[in-house]
Amino acid sequence: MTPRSAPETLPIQVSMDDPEPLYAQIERQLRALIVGGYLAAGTQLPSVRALATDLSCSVITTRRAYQELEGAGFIRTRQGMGTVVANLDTKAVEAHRREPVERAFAATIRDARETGMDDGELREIFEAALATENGRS
Amino acid sequence: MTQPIIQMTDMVARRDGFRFGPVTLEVEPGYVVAIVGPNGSGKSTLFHTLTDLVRPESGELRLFGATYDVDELAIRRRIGFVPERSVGMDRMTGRSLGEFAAHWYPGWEAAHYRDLLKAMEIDPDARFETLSKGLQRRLASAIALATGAELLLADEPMDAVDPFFSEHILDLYSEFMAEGDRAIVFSTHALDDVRRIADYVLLVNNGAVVGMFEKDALLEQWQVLWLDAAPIPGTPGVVRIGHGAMTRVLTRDVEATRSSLAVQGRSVVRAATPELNEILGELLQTPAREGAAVN
Repeated sequence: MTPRSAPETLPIQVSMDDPEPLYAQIERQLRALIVGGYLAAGTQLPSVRALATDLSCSVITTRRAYQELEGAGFIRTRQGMGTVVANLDTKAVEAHRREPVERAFAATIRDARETGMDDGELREIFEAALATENGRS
Repeated sequence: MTQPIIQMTDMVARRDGFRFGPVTLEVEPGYVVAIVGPNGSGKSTLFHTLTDLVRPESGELRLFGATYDVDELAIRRRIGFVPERSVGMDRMTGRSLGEFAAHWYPGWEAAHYRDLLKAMEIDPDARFETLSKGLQRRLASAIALATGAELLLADEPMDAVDPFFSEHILDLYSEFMAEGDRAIVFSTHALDDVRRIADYVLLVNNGAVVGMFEKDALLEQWQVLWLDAAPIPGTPGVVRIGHGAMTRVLTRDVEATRSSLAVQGRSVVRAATPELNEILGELLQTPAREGAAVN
């Protein structure tokens, strides 16, 4: 068997079971990679078609994700040159730095509520987890 | 305004007494459309009209803005075709078929064709009749992909191709789309193929178009919800209710259903996206409407 002709190059995963729309999942994960410094300015991104095939979604979805990111100044598209990561000003990076963490906490809090946990117990678990992680490093 | 690659306007076609249409639809450059429908629904008749084996009985078919009546040759040279059955190729080899196609298609990509044969693991000097059915299908795709055409039409191209290789071919189809002004229309019974590369699903049934659906929109709007108790009758969006250990609700408008359930005081215990075959199966049971449009 010949290897896949277009291997995935971005660690992006989408889930249909996530209530967040597909384009928003892609937008958020790609933005996190850019803000986190994993994708340097000028890095060539896959075409909307290549990304759509990787993620088994349509180009309508990937194009929308790219358009949102371009509108916010994270990437830019030039005729015939494809799409690349834009030069970011530090203010834009700072504004989005906390977002993935806030999101993870929000999801955890929702999980806790579902099991009937109150705020006190939740804080207790958080403090314990923080202590464990600090002890590790 | 982009010139659509395919435009059907109130088109009706008839083949061996089978009537297809009326259908109104457009396919714009940049998109992959999967034609899905039960056996005998009209998929092949659709391909016959697109390739001029059958002329529309009424209404109009335009390809690249032109009609076969006036511009037959010009249109044909802009279309790569994987027919349901390859006829008259038995004595030919991959190499000679490529030479033949090179004369016919002004944009023939000879080097790309050699790469495609290699990727499809086809011996260029093996006669067509000696190849297995799956290899014959692979060869047919290789030829169509190398034509340099802007429109690729493929009538069940993955038929008889093993599932491991069909994924590989789908990637090559996706690569064909790297040139943004192209379009692919293919039919399939394998909904995994649809999931993988289609942007739109053209659902056909009983000689009519049920609708042209944006694939991701279907998968985002349809949901399966498991509830703690049955919803009240007439809950918006609900298509089907299953009663078992839990109440399972299939909705085609998850937002409308969820906000109604919240008012009803029902809790959603779990939500999941249905398989494409469940969605399309439900849509097949809705009455067909006349035609559909993209965008």
